[in-house]
Amino acid sequence: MKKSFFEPSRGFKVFNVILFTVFGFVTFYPFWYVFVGSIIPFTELSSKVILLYPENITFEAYKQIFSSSSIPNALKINVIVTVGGTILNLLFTTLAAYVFTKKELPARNFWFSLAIFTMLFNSGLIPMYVTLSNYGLIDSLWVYILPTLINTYYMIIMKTSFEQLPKELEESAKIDGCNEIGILFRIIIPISLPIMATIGLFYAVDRWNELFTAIFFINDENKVTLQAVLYRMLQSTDPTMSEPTIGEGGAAMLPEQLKYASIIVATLPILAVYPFLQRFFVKGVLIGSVKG
Amino acid sequence: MKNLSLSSKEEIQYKIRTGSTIMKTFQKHKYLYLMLSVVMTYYVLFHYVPMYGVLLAFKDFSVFKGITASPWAGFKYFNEVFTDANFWRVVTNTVLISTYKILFSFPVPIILAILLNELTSIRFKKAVQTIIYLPHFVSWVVVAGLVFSFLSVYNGVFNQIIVYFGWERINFLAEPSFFRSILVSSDIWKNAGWGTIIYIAAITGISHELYEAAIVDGANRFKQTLHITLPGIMPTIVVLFILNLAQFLNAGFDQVFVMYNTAVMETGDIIDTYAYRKGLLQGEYSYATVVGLFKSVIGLTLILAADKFFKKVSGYGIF
Repeated sequence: MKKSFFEPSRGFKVFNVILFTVFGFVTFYPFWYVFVGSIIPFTELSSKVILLYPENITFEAYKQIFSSSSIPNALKINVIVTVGGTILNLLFTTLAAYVFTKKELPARNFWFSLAIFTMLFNSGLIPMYVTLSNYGLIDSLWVYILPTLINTYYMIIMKTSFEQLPKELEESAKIDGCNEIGILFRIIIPISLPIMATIGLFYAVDRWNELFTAIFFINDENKVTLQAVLYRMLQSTDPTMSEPTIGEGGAAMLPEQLKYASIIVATLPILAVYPFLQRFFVKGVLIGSVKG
Repeated sequence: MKNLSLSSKEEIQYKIRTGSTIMKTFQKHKYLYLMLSVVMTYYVLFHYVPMYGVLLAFKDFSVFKGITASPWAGFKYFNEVFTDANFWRVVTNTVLISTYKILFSFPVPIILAILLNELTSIRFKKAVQTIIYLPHFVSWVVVAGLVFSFLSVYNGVFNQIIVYFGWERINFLAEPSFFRSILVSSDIWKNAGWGTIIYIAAITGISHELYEAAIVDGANRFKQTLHITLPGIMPTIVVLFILNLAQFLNAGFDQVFVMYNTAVMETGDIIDTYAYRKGLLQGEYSYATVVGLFKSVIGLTLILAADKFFKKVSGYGIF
C-alpha cells in the first residue's frame, strides 16, 4: 500500500494552504487598510477603493490628533493605568494563586469557592455603581485598577501552573527558615516567569483596552482612556449617514482620517509588544489548559 | 472541693494547651493568613459588597438615603420589568444573538485548529498563527472602527465596490436584518483565531500511538480526525462550551455596545445595553437592578445545569 494513503492528499494540502492564506489576509488587511488610510492624503483615500500601499505619505492626521488635547491626555491615562494596573494586578493575582495552592491553609476549599463564585454570579452594573460611588471611587483613577484587581480566571491559570512546580523546592526553603512570603518572592515567582509574562500580557491588554470603566464610572473628561475617546469619535461620525457629516472640501478629511489615525494609536502599542511575548503566552496557555 | 479544684486546674491547663496549639498554628501560618486576608478583602469589597446592592431590586432607591435606609418596594419593580414588552424584546434579542454565536462562531476554532494541525510547513503555520491571534488583543472599539470603515454607507470599502459595479449603496449598519450577522461575523473575525490555541494544545496532547494504531487499521486522515482527534479533544470542547454558556446572556455586551445604533435597536438591543440605558442614563436604578439580577440568576442556573448535564452525558464537567 502506498504511504500517501495515510498522508493528507495533495489536493487537500493545497486547499488548506489557500484557506489559511485567505483567512490570514482577511484578518490582517483591515489593520493594513486603516494604517495606509491614515497616512495618505485625503484626496487619495476618497478616490481609491482598495488600499494596498501608500504612494504619497502625509502625517497630517497624526499631527492633528496630537495637537488636540483629548488624545495626548488619554494616552497619558492609558500609560498610567496600564503600567500601574498591570503591576498591581500581577502582584495580587500571584498572591491569591499562591495562597490557594497551600494545602495547609485551613478551610482552603471554602475560601477558594468564594473566589470562584464571583465568576458565576455578578451583581450587575447598578449595584456596582452604587458600591463604587459609596467608596468614593467615581471619577478616581483607582476605579480603573481596584475593582478588577484580580481576574479570577487568570488567577486559576496561575494557580494551576504553581501546582505543577516541584514541592521539594518549597520544602528546602522552609528548612532554611524562609516564610511563605519569602518563598513566594524568592522561589515561586523567579521560576514562574513564563506564566507571569503571559498573565502580565493579558492584564496589560485588558488595562490598555479599558473602555467600560471610563464610560460607566468616569465623568471627568481628563480621566478617560484612549478607547473611550475613540468610542466617542466613532459615535460622533455616524457610519449610517449617507453623506459625510461635515461638508465637502478640506474639512471633510478630518473625521475619517482622524478616526484611522486614532485607531492606529490605540492599537500600535499592543501590536508592538505582542510578537515578543507570543512564545511566552502560547506556552503559558498550554500550562494553564492542562486542567482548566 | 479538692477534687473539683484539681479537675478545674486540669481543665484550665487543657484550655491553655489547646489555646496555645491554635495560637501555634496561627503563628506558624501567620504570613499565609496575612496573604489570605488581603486576597479576601478584595473579593469582599468588590464582589460581595456589590452583591448586597442587589437589594436595590426590592427597594425604592433614593440616592440620599442609600441602600439600607431606602424604603422597601417588594416585588413592584419585578412586576414592572416582567410586564414590559421592551424587556422581553431585549431578552429575545440576547437569546437569538447568543444562539447564533454558538451555532456559527463556536465550531470555527475547532475546525481551524484541526486544519492548522494539518499544515506541513512549520514556518507557514507559525506565520498564520501570529496573524490570526492578533485581533484578540485589540479592543472591540477598534474592531468597531474597522467594521465601520468597511461597511459605512458613504466611503466604506464594500459600498465603494458596490458603486464601482454600478449597484445601489447598501446601508449595512442601519439595516436591522443585517445587524446580527455583522455581530456574528465580526465575532468570528476577532476571536476564532485565538480560540484555536487551546484546541491545538489539546490536539498536541493526544497520544501518537492512537494514530499509529488507526493507521494499522487502515484509517485515512479523515477517519483519524473523526475517530481519534475529535474524541481526544472532546473534554476541551465540553469545558469551553460550558464556559460559553456561562456567557450566554452577555451575548457579547462589549461588542454590541460599541456597534449598535438607534437604527438597529429592534434586533440589536440586548439585556446589558438596556440595563445600562435604563440605569445609568435614565436613572431608574431599581428597574435596572432587577434586569441585571434576572440576567445573573438565569446565567448561574444555566451554567450549573449545563455542567450537570454534561457530567451525566459525557463524564466531563468543570466543577
